[in-house]
Amino acid sequence: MAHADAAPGGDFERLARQSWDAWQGWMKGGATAGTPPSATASSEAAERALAGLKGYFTLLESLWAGAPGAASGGDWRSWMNDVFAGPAQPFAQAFADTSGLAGGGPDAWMADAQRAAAPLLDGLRKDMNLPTFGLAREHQERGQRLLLAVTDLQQQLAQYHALLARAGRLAAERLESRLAERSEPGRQVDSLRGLYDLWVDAAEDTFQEVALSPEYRTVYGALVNAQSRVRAESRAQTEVIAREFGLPTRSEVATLGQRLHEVRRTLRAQGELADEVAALRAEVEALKRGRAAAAAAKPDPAASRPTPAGGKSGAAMSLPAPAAKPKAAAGKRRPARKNS
Amino acid sequence: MYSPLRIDPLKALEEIETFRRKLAAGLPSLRSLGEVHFGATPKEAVYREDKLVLYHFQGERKPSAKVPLLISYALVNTPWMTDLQADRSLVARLLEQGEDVYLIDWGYPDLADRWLTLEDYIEGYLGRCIDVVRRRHGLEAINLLGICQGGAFSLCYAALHPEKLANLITMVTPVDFHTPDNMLSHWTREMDVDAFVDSLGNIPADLMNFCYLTLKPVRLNQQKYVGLVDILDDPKEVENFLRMEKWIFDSPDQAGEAFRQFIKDFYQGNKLIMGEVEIGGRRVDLKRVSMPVLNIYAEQDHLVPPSAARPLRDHVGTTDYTELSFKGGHIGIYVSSRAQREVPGAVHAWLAARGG
Repeated sequence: MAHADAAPGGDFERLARQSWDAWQGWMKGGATAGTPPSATASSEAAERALAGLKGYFTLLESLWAGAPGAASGGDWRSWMNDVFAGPAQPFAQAFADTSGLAGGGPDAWMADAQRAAAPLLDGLRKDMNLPTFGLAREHQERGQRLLLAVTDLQQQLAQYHALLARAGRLAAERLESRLAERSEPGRQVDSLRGLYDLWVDAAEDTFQEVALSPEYRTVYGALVNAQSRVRAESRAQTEVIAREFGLPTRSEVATLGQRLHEVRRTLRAQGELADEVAALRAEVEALKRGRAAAAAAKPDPAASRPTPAGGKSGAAMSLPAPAAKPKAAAGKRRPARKNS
Repeated sequence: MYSPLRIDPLKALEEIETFRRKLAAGLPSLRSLGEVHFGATPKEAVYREDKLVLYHFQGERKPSAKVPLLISYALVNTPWMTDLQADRSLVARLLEQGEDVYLIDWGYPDLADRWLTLEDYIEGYLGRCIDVVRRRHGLEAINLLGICQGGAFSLCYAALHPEKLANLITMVTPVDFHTPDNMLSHWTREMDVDAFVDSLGNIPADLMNFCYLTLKPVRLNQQKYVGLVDILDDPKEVENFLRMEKWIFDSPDQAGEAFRQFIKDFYQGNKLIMGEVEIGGRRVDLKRVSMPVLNIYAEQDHLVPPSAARPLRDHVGTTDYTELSFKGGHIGIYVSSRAQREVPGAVHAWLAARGG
């Protein structure tokens, strides 16, 4: 290594190895002195932290392995390129770590899909493009659709990975360009952490550009749609099996749920209508009472006027036109009203 | 010409050793911290429906505000970001200012809720919560504070029922979903949402979280945890970190139908600003938002960029529109110390000036 003789006594490599051994021992749950007894942390946060840190340490290790001498005029560009744009580029790694943990990531999902579909796909591959006939044709076609969907998903995932790899290379170029601006004394990077933080900034800025590009949008959309097709086809297969065993299927439960929600909406609408009718009836009653009270307070004109034969006294009751709704006003008191 | 790198191998080794030592020393204490909780302010459940709970918060003194304030959070994540812990609580600071605060907890949908639509959420759950608060206070109209997607819901409700809202506050609320820097929107454009929802039913929280993490993949998946090692020797800071982690990942699944409609109409169709969103067969016309509006957005918001929030001014019908720009991000607007100092006071002053 270029820096092997930089440490006093020439034992730099031994120190580095000890440090990494301790770290790796800790990661594997080894009981090295001064390290926690287990890397299998109980809490989700600790596990997540470990995953993120694993990527960080892997990156530091890569940096370490190829580091030119301190303050040397070594080939730093080549070093940066090897670490950040090489085959084990850390940018794609950041995605892969999360993909496995979050459960929603495309890599973990692909692995699950392949595992789940494997028994269904065995024997279908060689017949994938054959036309289907007879009693089993529908079953065979379903199998073919699933196989095609899985194959398509693999292709879409490969496209997605290729795009991420390109983003990683562009990030490395951006880092190199930003480093080149820091060549004068006082602006140089003098710590691994400083270099790491600079790379993170470069990676995020680059990803912003890539992720907002039309190409990413298309590749991402195709990946999500391919996942949906695999999911739908594998469920269709599973439901056939479930039906054969007399088990309720997701489709049946979904249908029940949909009908239940429709009934709930109908009932609620009827309840609201009933409340509205009840409120209107109450208003009518109040109006009637008001009119009756007003009529009782006045002298009866019929007593002093002749009534036509066969006619009825008084006019047909008519409701007053509905009053305009009160304008919204902060703090305005409203009368208590049921189900308002 | 010098090399831009001046990394002394010995110092680098020391750096790594220090990092490893801090990690080794800090992790046992991490394990001993136990569970973290959020929802710090005393509260009372005043209404329940399905999985929804409407809470009324209890401050240390009687509210001075004449009109209560209802907070409507997004369906993604839980509403406890507004009351994460005693010293990071929008709710607590609003109570201190004299506001009378209610909050909707939408709950965790399961497959029984898969068919809930936007109408169920907006006209149904939100509308009935608003009616409950109006009835409790004997008021025609109350104040509504909508956050993120909850802000979009609040705008829809305000357009459909302007008479029931005295004042509307929107926080980090997307309005124009097609601005060029809106990454989430960009990613949804070529998604077949029907196939997505039909094959999933409800949208799993893990899937949503994966999507959010990949908005800033290295920062959120790795650098954040490297930074955690720096604070491992500070139990209070670690507890705060873990509390935030819990909030981020303890999130609800999304009801399938509501998700389908929201992505199609808002993210893909950008129908809110075009007046083409329909809720329960009624068109949402933002010109009918006639009550005073305070629109608060965060300058470094990577989920709802300011460009997505600010166009509200051009679309609402009110003549009393105020905008507040906050120096921070989508989460910092609730929990940062700057937010504690600036946001609740601004909200209270704005409401007080409008009789609230």
